[in-house]
Amino acid sequence: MKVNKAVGVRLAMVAAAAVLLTAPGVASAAGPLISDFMEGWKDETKIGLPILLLLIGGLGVLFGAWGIISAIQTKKQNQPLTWQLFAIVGGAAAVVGPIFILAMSGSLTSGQGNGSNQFDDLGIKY
Amino acid sequence: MDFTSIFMNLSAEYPVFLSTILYLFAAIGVWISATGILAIVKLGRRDTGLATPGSHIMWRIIGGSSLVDLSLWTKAWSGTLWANADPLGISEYSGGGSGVYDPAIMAAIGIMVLTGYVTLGRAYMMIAKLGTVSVESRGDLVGSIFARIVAGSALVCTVHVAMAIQASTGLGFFK
Repeated sequence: MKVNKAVGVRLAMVAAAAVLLTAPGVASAAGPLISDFMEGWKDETKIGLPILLLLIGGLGVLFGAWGIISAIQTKKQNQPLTWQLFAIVGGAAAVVGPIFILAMSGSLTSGQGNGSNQFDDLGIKY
Repeated sequence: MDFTSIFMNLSAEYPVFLSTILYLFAAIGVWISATGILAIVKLGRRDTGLATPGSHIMWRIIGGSSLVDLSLWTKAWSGTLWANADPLGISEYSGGGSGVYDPAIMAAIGIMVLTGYVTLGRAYMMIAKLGTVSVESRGDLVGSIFARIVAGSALVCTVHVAMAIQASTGLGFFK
């Protein structure tokens, strides 16, 4: 697939040409700006990301509950536990995931980063 | 209307561009680490064939949570590699803010600075992949991560590096 290699470069060139050709018109017409698109992306991310994190937390609850039920059943049959402990621990950790991420970014930057500000901007409750 | 004014118009939007880049990388980082934490559940599976699921989780959390603090990491790398403890803020490049060079040149350099931030973000996204690649290809991945870190922080410090070259060679490239 030799053709595909240059597609990205060509797209970028076409986009650059389009921007340069239309820039004088847009600048004088005071239409939408590129930064307006970007503000839109931010707004979408702010709505979408907390929902995705909520879904991950929900998955964590499911895994944790499944692990506990399975552990009880397995113990009743006098079998050794295999994956159940990891499911319980991982499921519980997934529910409080944002705190883990914040703690890790705080540890890596020895508390000098602005991770909590970024989290507020992203609309994540922790 | 000429190219100088086009670049000047575009450069007025750089602060929004940069904050959006940092914002989107932070969102990607949160997503990467959150799925990494959920992968703890997978530790119990013995039939995945993944040799080191533990390091997979660790690298995802390290890479993802570093992306949340990307601006601080940019400062750290440019301080370490290029002796530039305080790289110019992006507003210095927009609308001839600082007046180090000609405003149009600063606007053009500003695009490279934005590219540098994207490159550094890509480096941290590749750090998150370190745990999933095979042992043989890990060296290649580490190499391209460091290449991206060096190149990205050099792009962020373009003006600083140019001044350093000018000062040590005595050639007046820029003024």
